[in-house]
Amino acid sequence: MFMRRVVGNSMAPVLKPGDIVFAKKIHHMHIYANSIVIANINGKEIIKRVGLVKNGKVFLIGDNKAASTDSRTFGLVPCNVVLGKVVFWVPNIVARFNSRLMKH
Amino acid sequence: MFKGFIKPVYAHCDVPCGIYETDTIKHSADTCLKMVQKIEDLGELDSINKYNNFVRMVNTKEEHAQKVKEQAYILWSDFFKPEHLTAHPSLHDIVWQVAKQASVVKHAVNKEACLELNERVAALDELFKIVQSGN
Repeated sequence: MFMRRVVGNSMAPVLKPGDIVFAKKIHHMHIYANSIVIANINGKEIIKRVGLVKNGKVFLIGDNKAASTDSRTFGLVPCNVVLGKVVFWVPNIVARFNSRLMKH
Repeated sequence: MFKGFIKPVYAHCDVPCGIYETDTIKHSADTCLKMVQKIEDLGELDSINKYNNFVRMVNTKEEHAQKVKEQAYILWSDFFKPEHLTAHPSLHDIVWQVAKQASVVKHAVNKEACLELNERVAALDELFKIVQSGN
């Protein structure tokens, strides 16, 4: 189990910047579509949803399609770049509350 | 509050998110040509309305020539990758020629310059399509 802090908006509205996610290391055979995973793409850890698993490769896509750099840009990635599956997360209530205040 | 000790994971927001097109740049280059034609059609500026239209057309030409440059820069910096440069060594020159010609279009009311801009944009479009279909 490891935890990470979300930076960026590509998984909004589910995950927002500042949320803390907890991920479990999983075997490559246990990557399924629709789960949220953390992957290492060229040395940078990114968080995305699995769109498709095919022939040992995964298509990663952000929930917020308008603000995400994902497999639409970098293509299918091998399963072994997936570091873990997000099992639960703690929303950053302070930031969410503040952004609501800003809107009104 | 956890900034210091929890490693970040990126839900990255690199607008423009993999959506690239050349319609905007072609449309803008065409607009420049159209504006020059319309300015020439105005003839002598003998009424206040003609002055008004003249200024609007020059403004539009200026604006769209700038848009051509911006669109070319977006493709250049975000769409094209190093491997595309290896495959198409003329890439830098093609983009540069578009940007240069867009500036020439701004400088004068010159139909030839606009036609030249359209040609250079077409060359960039052609390269874009080749690279895109190769992906």
